[in-house]
Amino acid sequence: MQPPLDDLRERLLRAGLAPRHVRRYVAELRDHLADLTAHERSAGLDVQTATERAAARLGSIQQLTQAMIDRTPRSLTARAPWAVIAMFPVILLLCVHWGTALSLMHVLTPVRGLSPASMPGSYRGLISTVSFVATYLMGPLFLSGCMVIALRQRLSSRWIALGLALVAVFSAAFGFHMQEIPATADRQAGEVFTMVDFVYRQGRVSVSGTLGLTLLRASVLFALSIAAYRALSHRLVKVRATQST
Amino acid sequence: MKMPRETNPNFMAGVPELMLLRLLQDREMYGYEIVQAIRTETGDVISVGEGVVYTVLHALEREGALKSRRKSIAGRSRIYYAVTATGLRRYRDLAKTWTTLAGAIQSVMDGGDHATAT
Repeated sequence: MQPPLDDLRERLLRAGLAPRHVRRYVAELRDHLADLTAHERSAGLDVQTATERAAARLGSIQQLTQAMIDRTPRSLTARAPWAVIAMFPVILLLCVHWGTALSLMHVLTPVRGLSPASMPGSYRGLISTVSFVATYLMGPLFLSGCMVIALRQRLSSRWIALGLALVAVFSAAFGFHMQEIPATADRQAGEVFTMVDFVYRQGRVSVSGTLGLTLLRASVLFALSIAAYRALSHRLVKVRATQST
Repeated sequence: MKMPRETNPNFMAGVPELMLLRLLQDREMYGYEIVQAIRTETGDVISVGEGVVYTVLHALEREGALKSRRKSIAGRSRIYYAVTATGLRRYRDLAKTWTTLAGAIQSVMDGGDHATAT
């Protein structure tokens, strides 16, 4: 019987070893097993006996798992999932918003005296594109990144839920805007900025409206990302089951 | 065909590293070659689960004692390992420690034989 190397991979990933270390170890073991089997076959053994002897010489799954765990440091994702899955994506998301706003302000320097309506079409198009990407696509992009990291490391679902919730809330809260205001003596027109998406009612910021909008957007993002994560997890389980049979 | 018995792990601390660093000084080898070389050189006296050798190789590589490169030969891609300057220094330290330890154990055994004889 072939040793269950897929099972070994799962055990190592769940033990917190970095996917790249696990992938290389399992690949080398597969090659080694193939060499051992070929060697036993060349000694005149039938396929089944040769396979069994090769597997015995390679070592038991428990032995191979323990040896790797004893000698390999755990990945950062396994040691500090709260940082990699929850904190780091949120900080990076805020930095991307801030960096995008600064870059856009720099690019728009030649037209900074103009109101948005009187800007050349190319500048307006650039602002619209960046606003759309930063406001609506950045969140899903970061959520996808969190999912990939969590799936690769086989993290527990409570960490991925926390990470997805935080990224969903922050990406829902922050929008990217071009303020449509005319220039005054002390202020330039058409400032580009990133900020919490305030909802205004009768000219004033509505706290309930702002919170409601943020929570609604966050809930939709969170629900979609959790559904995608579950679907991907089930798909992975099925693929692994197919591979092992 | 007789299956080799696994060596008692309590007596194996540092031995795999020592053997790997010595064998890889002569030429670069991939995992299966290394294990066969160990079996041949030790006359099958030292034998562990063969797959375990990769955990030692990877650990030595992380410490800078070994370097690896992927090489394709006869249509198969393999990872070959070679010793670095750090690995050579590590080997000399390990060999010195092992020689001292073996000498000390031998002198205890000689003393034991002497006590039995008298």
